[in-house]
Amino acid sequence: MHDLLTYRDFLYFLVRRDIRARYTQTVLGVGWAVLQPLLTMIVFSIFFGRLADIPSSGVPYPVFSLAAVVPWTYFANSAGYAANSLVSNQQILSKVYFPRFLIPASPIGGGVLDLAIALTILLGVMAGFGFFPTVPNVLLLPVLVLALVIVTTGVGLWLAALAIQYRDVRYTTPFLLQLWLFLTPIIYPLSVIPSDLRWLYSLNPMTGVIDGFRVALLETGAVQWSSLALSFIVGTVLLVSGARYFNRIERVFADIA
Amino acid sequence: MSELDHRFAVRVTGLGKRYRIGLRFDREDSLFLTAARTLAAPVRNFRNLRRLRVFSDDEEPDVIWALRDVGFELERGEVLGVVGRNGAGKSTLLKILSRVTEPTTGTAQMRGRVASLLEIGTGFHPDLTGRENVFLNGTMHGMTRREVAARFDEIVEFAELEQFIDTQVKRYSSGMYVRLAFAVAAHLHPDVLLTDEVLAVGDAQFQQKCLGRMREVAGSGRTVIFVSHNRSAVSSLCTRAIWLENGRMAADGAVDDVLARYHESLLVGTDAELVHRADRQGDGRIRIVGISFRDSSGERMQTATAGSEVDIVLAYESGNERPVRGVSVTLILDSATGHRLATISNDFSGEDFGELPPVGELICSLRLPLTGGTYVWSIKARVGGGLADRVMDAAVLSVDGSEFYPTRRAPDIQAGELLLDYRWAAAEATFARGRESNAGTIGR
Repeated sequence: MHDLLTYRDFLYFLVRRDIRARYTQTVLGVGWAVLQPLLTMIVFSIFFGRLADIPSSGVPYPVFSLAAVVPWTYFANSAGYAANSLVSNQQILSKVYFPRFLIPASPIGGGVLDLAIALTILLGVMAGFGFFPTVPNVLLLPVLVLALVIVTTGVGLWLAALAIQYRDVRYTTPFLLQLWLFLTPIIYPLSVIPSDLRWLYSLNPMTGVIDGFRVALLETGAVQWSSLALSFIVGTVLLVSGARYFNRIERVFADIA
Repeated sequence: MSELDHRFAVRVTGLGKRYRIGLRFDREDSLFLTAARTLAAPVRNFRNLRRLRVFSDDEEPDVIWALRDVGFELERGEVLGVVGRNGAGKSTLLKILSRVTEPTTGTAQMRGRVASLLEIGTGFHPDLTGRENVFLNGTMHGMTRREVAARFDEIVEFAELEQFIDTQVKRYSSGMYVRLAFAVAAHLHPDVLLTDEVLAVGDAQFQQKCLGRMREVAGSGRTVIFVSHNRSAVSSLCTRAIWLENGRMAADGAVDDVLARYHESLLVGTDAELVHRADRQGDGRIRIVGISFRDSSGERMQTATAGSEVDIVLAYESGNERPVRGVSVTLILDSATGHRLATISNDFSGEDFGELPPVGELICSLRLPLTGGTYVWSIKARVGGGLADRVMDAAVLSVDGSEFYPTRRAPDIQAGELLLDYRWAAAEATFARGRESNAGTIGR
C-alpha cells in the first residue's frame, strides 16, 4: 500500500506511455478506439443480424450489438494487453524494482479512456436510431463499469502471471478470448438461454456485465440481478486469487523471465 | 527500532542466491525414441519451466549458488566498492539489494530510499520525448511527479539537451540518449545508491563528468555501493571494498588492501588458468593460452626487478590448427589501481610475424620502466585486423627493487608508477657570470 502511494505517479506516466505507444505512427490515432467497435458492429450486423437473423430483443441489431461490443472490446483488449505486458517489459523488470502489478494495471487503466470514447460513440449511434438512455436504468452504468474493471483486472493478472512463465499463454489468449466471446451474450440476447440453465451460464462473469449494459442503455428487459451478482462474486474471486498468484510469482519474475 | 540500529544504512546478513542452470538433454539414438521424446516434450517442458522456481531441499546437479553467505554492514555515508571476476556474483548482489530479485537465504535491510542504476536508460521509450521520458524514468525510480518537476531544469542542463528535450528519444544520437539517462539517474537523490558499470558508457569527457557527479553524491553523505571493473574509479571513489570470488566474500576492508589482494589472486597460477578463461571476446582464429614472464636467462619469474630485461612470452594456438598470417598482438599495462599505463603492440613497432605455425610462442622483450608494485596485463590478438581474442586482466606481474638507475635507487609507487630515461645537465646562464659547466648523465 505504501508502495502504491510512492509509485502512483509512475502508474500515471506508464498509462500515458502505453497510450502513446499504442497510437504512435498510426494515421488515425485514437480514432482506432472508435473504429474498432464500429467495424465489429457492422460485421456482426451483416452476418448475425441480417444473414443469420439472430433475435435482438426488439431493438435494431446494430445498436443491440454495439451496446455489447463496446464493453467487450475493453475487456478483450485490456486483458490481452495485460497478458503480454510482463513479457514485453521484461527488460525493465530485471533491472529496476517497483510494484510489478503496475505493469498489467497500466493497459487496464489506460483502456478506460478508450472505453469512455467508445461509450460516447455508442450514445451517438443510439441517438441516430432514436434511443436515449433514461434515468432509472442508466444509473446502473457506473456499477457495470466497476464490475467490468474487476473482471478484467482479475483475468489480466492471471494471464500476465502465467504468461511470464509459460509463453504458451501468448498463443492461447486470442483463442481463449474468441471462445469467450461466443460464450457471452454479445451476438445473441441472454433470453435465448433456457432459464433453468441461466445460473450456469452466468458463472461467466461477463454475462451479467454485457446483459447489464443492454438493460441500462436500451432497456431490453428487467435487470438480471442474480447474473449481475454472480459477475461481482466471480469477478472478485478472480481478482483476489489472481492478485495472490501474481504476488507469489512476482518475487521470482526476474529469475524466470 | 532500537537506538543502536540507527547507525547502519545497509545491513546484509547470510545472503545467498540459488539458480538453476540449463543442463543438456540426452539425445535418443532411434527414430522411435526421438518421436516418443517429441510427443512427451510438453510434459518435460512444463516440468523444466516449473523447476526454474521450485527447488527441492537436496542438492541437485544443475543448481548453482551465485551468492553464498555474504554479509556486511555499511554506515551512512560509506562508499563501498565491489570487485571480483566476471561471474563472481557482483551483479546478483546488486539485483538482490535493489529488490529486483529475492535472496534464497539471508536478509538485506536498507534504510531510506534506494535507487539502483543497474543499466542506464532502462525503461526509456523511443516514441516518447525527452521530457516525457524524464518523468517516466524519474517516477519509475520512486520519485513523485513534483520531485521530478523540481529537478527538471537541472537534469536537462546536466544532460546538455536544452534544445532537444521535446524531441522523441528515438531521434537522439546514442550519446544524447546516454547523457539524458545518466542525468535522470544522477538527480534521484537516494539515501542509498546502487550502481553497476554505468560509467562504461558515453565518451571519455562525459565519463569524467559522471565520475565527478558520483564523487559529489558520495561526498554528500549518501551511501553508495559501486560495482565496477574500472579499478581506478573504485579506488578513487570508495573508502571500503569487498571482493567476491565464486559467490563468497574473499575480502572486506580498506579499498587499497582489498584491491591489492584481489590483484594478487589473479597472479596465482596465471599460466595454467589462462587456458581456462572463458570470458574472452573475439572470433578465436587465434587464442592466447599462456602468458609467462622470463628473465634474460630464460627463467620464469613472478617478480621482476625494475629496469631489468624481461621477456613476456605468450603461448598461442590457432583456432583451426593451421598456420595463420597477419597476426598482431597487443599488451595493455594497467597499474593495480587501474590506471592505464601503456599499450604495446607489434603494430606500433612495425614487426610482422609473417606466417605463424599453428602452435607457438610470441615473445615481447622490454626493459621494465616501473616502480615497485603490482601491475596487470591484458591481451588482445588480431588476425588481419579483426579481433580474434581478448582477455582482460590476463596476468599480474610484481615489480620490486630497481636496476633502472645506476644508483639502484628509485622513487616508490606513491611518487608515480613510471621510471623515465633521462639525463641531467647544468649549463651556464646566457647572461650570467661564466662558470664551468658540470654535466652528468643518468640512466642509459
